[in-house]
Amino acid sequence: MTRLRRFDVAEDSLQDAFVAAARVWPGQGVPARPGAWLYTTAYRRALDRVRQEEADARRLPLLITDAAPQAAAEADDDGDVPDERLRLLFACCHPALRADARAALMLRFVAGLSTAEIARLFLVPEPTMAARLTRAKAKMARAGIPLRAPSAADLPERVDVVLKVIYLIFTEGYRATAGPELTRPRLLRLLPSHTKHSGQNTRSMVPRWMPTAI
Amino acid sequence: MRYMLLIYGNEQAWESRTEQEQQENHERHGKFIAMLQERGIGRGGDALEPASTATTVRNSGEVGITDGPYAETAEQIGGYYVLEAADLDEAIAIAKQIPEPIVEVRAIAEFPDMAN
Repeated sequence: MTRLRRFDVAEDSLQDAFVAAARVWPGQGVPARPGAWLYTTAYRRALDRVRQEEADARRLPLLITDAAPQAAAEADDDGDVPDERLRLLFACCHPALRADARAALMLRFVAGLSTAEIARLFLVPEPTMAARLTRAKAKMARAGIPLRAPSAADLPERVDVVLKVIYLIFTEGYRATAGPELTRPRLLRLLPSHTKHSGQNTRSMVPRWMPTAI
Repeated sequence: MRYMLLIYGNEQAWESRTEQEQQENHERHGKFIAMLQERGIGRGGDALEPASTATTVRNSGEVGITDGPYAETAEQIGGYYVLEAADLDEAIAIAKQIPEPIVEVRAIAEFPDMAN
């Protein structure tokens, strides 16, 4: 997703990848690395979409072209995904975005929470949150905010928002907005085990009694 | 003398125009640009991405960058630079080197099928 500056394309393409999986996997079996399969399929689909847009649209799509399609094949490795996620996490807290939009973007695109879930975490109505996300996505694409790992110098001003988001992911994992289960252990597993702040480890936020804790 | 002609308008109205209205507007600007070329007096011009996608860079006082256009009324536009940058980060880095206190960074809108 960091190869595209386009969240809308990335979202739609991931959706397509899931559709493709639902069609292909029952017949051919689940691939050895389902995550990598979905990632590659989504990326290829995103490229198709962008090419399609280039043909139709007048507006130049803001595609980062420094990554050759060849690199996508190499990125099949599941091992790249955590880095990708972290890069996305830090790009979403770019200082040229409003502070309240940064955390919301991360929760939407890194943690995969729904707009309704994020609205609840921020105590705002869902349409307000939807508008905030739309505006932030437009800014990212139209102002040319890059999605790449920040340099060491960028980290101090971004790390606070990242930590806030990690805490909110924990909150949603600890007490889910919707769904049959009260907790969402898969969400908690997103939390990086090595994130430290003032000597505090995010793992320590998870109560010991939680059986599925990270 | 050289003059800079700044265009103001309601962005919401601009953004909600239909495809056809946009096309018509492009054609009107095309005619205007042709007139400038014919008279040999054009020195460049562009459409900007909406003010909501602007980033304001402060080089003195509370140094830093903020989302959005420069909205206060005490200061006025005093000059401009147009430059090519890979992305917003590079544009901001250069804006920080401008020896002026406040710089608003706006992306220039691209219209590939319109030859300027």
